[in-house]
Amino acid sequence: MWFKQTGAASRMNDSQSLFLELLDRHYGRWRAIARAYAKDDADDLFQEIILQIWQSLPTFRGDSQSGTWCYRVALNTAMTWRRDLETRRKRLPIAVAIEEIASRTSDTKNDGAAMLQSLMAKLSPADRGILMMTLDELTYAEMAAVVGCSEGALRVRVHRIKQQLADFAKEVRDDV
Amino acid sequence: MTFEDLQRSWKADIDRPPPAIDRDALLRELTQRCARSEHLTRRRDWREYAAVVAVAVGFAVLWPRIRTSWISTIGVIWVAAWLVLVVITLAKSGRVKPLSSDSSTNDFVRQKIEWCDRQIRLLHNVVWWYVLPAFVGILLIAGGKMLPHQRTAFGSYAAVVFVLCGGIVWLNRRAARLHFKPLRDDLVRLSEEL
Repeated sequence: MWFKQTGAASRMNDSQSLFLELLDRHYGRWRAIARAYAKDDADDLFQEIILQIWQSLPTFRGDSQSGTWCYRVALNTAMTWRRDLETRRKRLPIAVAIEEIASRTSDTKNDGAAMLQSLMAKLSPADRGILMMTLDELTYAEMAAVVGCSEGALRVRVHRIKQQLADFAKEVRDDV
Repeated sequence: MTFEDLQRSWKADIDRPPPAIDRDALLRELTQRCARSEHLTRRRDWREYAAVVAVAVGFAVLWPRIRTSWISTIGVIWVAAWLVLVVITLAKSGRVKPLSSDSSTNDFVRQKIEWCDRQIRLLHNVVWWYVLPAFVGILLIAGGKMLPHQRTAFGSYAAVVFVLCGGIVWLNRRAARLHFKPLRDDLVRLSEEL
C-alpha cells in the first residue's frame, strides 16, 4: 500500500523540525531569560517558555526573523510568568523530557555571568528584557518590534540602562 | 567591568548547545501536554453545561407538582430564562480569543490586562447574571407552593437560600480580589514600565 502523508501530518512534521531547529539555536538564550526572570524557579519558567514556543509555532509566519519572534514569545512568557505563579503550580507538571533538559544544564559559574545576573536583578523586568536584547546585538528596529514601542524611545531607554549598569558596577567596585 | 565584558559573558552563556536528549520523547511530551490542556478546558466547559442541564432536568421533574400555582409557573419560566442567560454568558466568556504570545510585549500585556478585566467583571457581576436571577426564581417557585399557609417555613427557606447566594457572591468577589486584582496591578505596573 502506498503511503501518502496527509496535509496535517506534513504540517506537524514541519512544526516539529522548525521547533527542534529553534531549540538548537536559542536554547541558551531561553535558559538565560528564564534565569533572569525566575532565579529559584528558573527550570519551571524554562519549561513554560519551551511550551509557549511550541504552542505559538502555528502563528510563526516566517516573515520576522526567528530570533525576534522567539524573543517576543520568551519575554512575554517570562515577564508575566511570576504573576501567574499560583495558576502555574496548580497545573500538571511536564514529565520527563523537558525536566531532563533543565536538570542536565550546568549553570555558568564564571564571575562575568554572576555579575551580569546580579546587575540584571537590579533592573525592572522591562529593562531586563531590553538589556538582554541589547547584549544580543539586536537592532533598535528589531527591539522595537519585540517591545512594541518606537525606536527613539528605545534609544533613550538603552542609554539609561547603560548608565544604570555603569552606576551599579561602580557601586560593586567601591564595595570591593 | 565594561559593557563589552557583560556582552562577552552573555554570549558565552547563550552560545551553549542544548544537552543531548531524546528529541522524540520531548516532542511527544509537548504534543501530549497541549492536547491535555485542550482536553481540560473542554471538560471544564462541558461540566458547566452539564450543571445547567441538571438544574433544568430537576425543575422539569418538579413541574407536575408545582404547576397548580401560577406564581410557581412564573418562577419556572424565570428559571428557564435564567439558565439560557447562564449558557449565553458562559459561552461568551469561552469564545474570547486566546492571548497571542507572539504579540509585541506591549500588546501582550495590554491583552492580558483586558483578559483580567473581563475575569474581574465576570466575577463581580455574578450577582446579576447568576445569583440574583436564581434567587428570585427559586423564591417564586417556593413562594407559589408554600404561601400563604407556610409563612414561617418559607421565611426560613428564603433565609437559607439568601445565605447560600451571599456565599457564592462572596467567594466570587474574593477570587477577584485575591487572584485577579493583584495580577492586574502587576500587569499595569509592567505596562507603565514598558
